[in-house]
Amino acid sequence: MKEKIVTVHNLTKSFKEVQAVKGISFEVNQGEVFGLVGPDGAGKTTTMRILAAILSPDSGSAEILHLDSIKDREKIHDRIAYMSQRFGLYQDLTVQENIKFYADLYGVKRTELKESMDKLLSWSNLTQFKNRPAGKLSGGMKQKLGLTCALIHTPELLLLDEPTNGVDPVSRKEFWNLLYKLVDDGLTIIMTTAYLDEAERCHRLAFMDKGKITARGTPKEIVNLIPGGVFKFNSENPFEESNRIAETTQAVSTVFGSQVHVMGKITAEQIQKSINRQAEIVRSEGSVEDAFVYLSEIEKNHG
Amino acid sequence: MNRQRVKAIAKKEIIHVIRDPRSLGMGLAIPVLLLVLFGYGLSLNVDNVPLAVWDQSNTVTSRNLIRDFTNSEAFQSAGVCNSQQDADRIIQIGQATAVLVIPPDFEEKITRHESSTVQLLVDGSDSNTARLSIMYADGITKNAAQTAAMSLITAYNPAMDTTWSIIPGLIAIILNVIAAMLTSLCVAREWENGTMEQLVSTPMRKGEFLIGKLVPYYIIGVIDLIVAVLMALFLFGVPLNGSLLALAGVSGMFIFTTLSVGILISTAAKSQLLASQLALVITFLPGFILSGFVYDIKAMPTVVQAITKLIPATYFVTLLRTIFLKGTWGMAPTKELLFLILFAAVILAMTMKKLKLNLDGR
Repeated sequence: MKEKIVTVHNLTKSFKEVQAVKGISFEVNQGEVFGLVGPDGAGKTTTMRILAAILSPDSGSAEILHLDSIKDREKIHDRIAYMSQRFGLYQDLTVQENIKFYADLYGVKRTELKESMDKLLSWSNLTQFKNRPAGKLSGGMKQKLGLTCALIHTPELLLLDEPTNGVDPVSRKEFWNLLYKLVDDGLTIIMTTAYLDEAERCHRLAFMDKGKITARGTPKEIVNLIPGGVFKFNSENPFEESNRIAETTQAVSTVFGSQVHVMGKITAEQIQKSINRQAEIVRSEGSVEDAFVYLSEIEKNHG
Repeated sequence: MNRQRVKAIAKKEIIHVIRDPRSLGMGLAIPVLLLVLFGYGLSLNVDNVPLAVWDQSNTVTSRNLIRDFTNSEAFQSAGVCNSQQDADRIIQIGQATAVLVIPPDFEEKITRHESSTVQLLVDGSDSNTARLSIMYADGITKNAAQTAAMSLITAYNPAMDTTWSIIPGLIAIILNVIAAMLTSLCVAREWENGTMEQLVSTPMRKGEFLIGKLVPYYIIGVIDLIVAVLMALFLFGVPLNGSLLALAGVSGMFIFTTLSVGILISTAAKSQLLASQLALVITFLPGFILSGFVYDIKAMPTVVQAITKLIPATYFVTLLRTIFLKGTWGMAPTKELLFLILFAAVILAMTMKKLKLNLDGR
């Protein structure tokens, strides 16, 4: 049994009229990548800010490294790293100056700084850019610099709020490779993302929608939440046919390119009847993305 | 208090200023520009007022008087006239701003030690120049006639050179505005750029943050002060009658006070734009109008007088004038210095209360 290093219990948080987080609970184990996945406005960032001990919840509790997120704020700040959505890089400071600044804030000793900075710079492939102002880096490089700054004090827990938002696919892949290397070294990572393909890369994930966690588990467990798998067929009018299925049956239907995915209590014959043609329907295991579409549709219909 | 963190914040802030030409300009170039502009532009002296003469006496004594006028810096010769119509015309067409009319019996009366009246016709459309011309003329005739001693002796600024009293006050007003403007952006900018969210997640403490922010701008403020004082002494020729130590002490305290005002504004305001506008309005207007720099506080209504006592600039204007022109450092200025210290303490306490190193309430 792995050690639980984050325990969130019945957390709520409101801003004026909007209830951003509506009583969520989850746990994160030592050494895993835990993903909070969901659409914009689901309450992911609010949750992350509470975990980073920079925002107080209205009720409920969050224990980070066995410390209370409100009472032990300063102790938590010493031991974790938080990378906000717009990571606080100073655009006019160079790569090296940014890293040094955060190293000083975290009290990294001068004697150790040189070595760990060199190591992190080469690890993130930023060595040749170390004298470049952060404002002149590409989006992907900025994210890597943010990550480097966050890691300079060797935290025990890394919180990443939409770290790959707006980053190109190649840089995203590179970023993930870096994250896996960190996990290999024993770091625990909690991250939020709106990209469902990224969700599959997490060890465990929780799907957040409108302030609530609607599903949780390993990617495989999440996929298994779709009863009876996914029916897939190609279509020349995917949106039209998908809409017709949604209107005439109880199933959830969604479009992937030119392909229509149908989930729920339905048979291939019922689909063919609904779209009124003999489409070639394949039944297969779904993806995390299918699962989330399914779950949010179900939620919508119940809510 | 962790010195490594204070140093890191101060260093970062200095880099911001050095790499941003605009803030460097605001910090160093604008004070110099303001001092030059206002130092010359705000001068309330008149010089070289064009003066025409209608000498009906035409004697040695009258010519001596005319020479006294034209040799003074206040007046310069602008022709002669021979009749009342002539005098009116010269003023109307603007050839002269004033006409000196000397009566035919001028020499006669002076030699008999009687008083004689000379007339000065002045173009009243510029009332300020007119008033000052009359004042100067009065002085010149009194000296020339060697009648009774001048009834008014102006102390501390014998030449009544307004530059002397304007410059020390101007230094106060400029430091007041610049210092507050400098710090007014420094907290709001972190929120606006999203860097504050990152900062609050670090172990940084409030005190470290504030001191780290204040130190670089204090250095800029002191540089401004040194430049301004050097300009006052060597460019405008204002004498420094008091001690340099007193000047340094009082100014050092004042800069700290107004930097604190700026940082409080920056902490309370949600955006840089709002913060800089607030800083300008809060420091410049009261500093300019109510500090006694331009308008005499004693001439204000009682309520307004009470308000002036709450403005740090009021004390600084008084202190700087005292140190520069009077040279005294008696019991009175200690009270003013105490106020500045108290004011800064209150403002910083408010800033500590207002500053939140978390996102609650945002």
